[in-house]
Amino acid sequence: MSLSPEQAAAALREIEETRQRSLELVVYRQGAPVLVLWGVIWIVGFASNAMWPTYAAIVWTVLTVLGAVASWLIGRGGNPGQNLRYVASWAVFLLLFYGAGPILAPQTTSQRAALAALLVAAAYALTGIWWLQRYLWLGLALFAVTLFGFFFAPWFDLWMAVMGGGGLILGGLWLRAA
Amino acid sequence: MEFTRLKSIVQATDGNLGGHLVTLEKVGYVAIEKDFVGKKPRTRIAMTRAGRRAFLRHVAYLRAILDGADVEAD
Repeated sequence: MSLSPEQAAAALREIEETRQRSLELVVYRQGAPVLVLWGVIWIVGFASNAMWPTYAAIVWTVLTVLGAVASWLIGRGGNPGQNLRYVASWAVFLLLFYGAGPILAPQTTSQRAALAALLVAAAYALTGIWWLQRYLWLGLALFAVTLFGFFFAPWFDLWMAVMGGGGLILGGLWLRAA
Repeated sequence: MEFTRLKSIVQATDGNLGGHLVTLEKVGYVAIEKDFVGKKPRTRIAMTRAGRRAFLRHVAYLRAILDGADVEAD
């Protein structure tokens, strides 16, 4: 039995859609432990903001470097191009954070932390809009948690440790279940 | 890859996917392994080398149809 060009095109379309779905699930699986890791980092980082505010900058610098290296190690099973994009994404994030910092001039630790959290939320939301839909919901949830915490929560750092860090961990588990 | 994961990727029902896999296993295109994780049964499926070659041949066949080439089905 031979196929018509229309049937062949439909079959190829279906193959491509299945390939995309498969790829998405693989990326969700790879992203899950990274999100859980950052959830733990947020809990430790924001808790230290609340308890030892003097050392907040040092603690966050150490945690961020550790987190970036650990995330890279977790994702290094991917192809070299993907790893390069990972490093480039970090470079963009740091450029934006340290570039926007002096312009927006956040006065307090909470303002700086909220700015960083909003940038992370934006990165997730954009990833979700263009490619992996679950990241959009993660990004939006992070926006909501950060803004609500900043404007309404009496203890912003503890709020971010529990709701932000805990939310990232839950998000990681949600990606794992995809 | 586990059966449940494959099911969500190809968006098929248990019965439908199971039926296709049995056929593919008979012709040697996939290998199916069943075991238990604790008390929970687990089915894992892997594409064989012959299966991969057959798939690539099929995709090439579909593309050739679109290109208007004179092709014959496998």
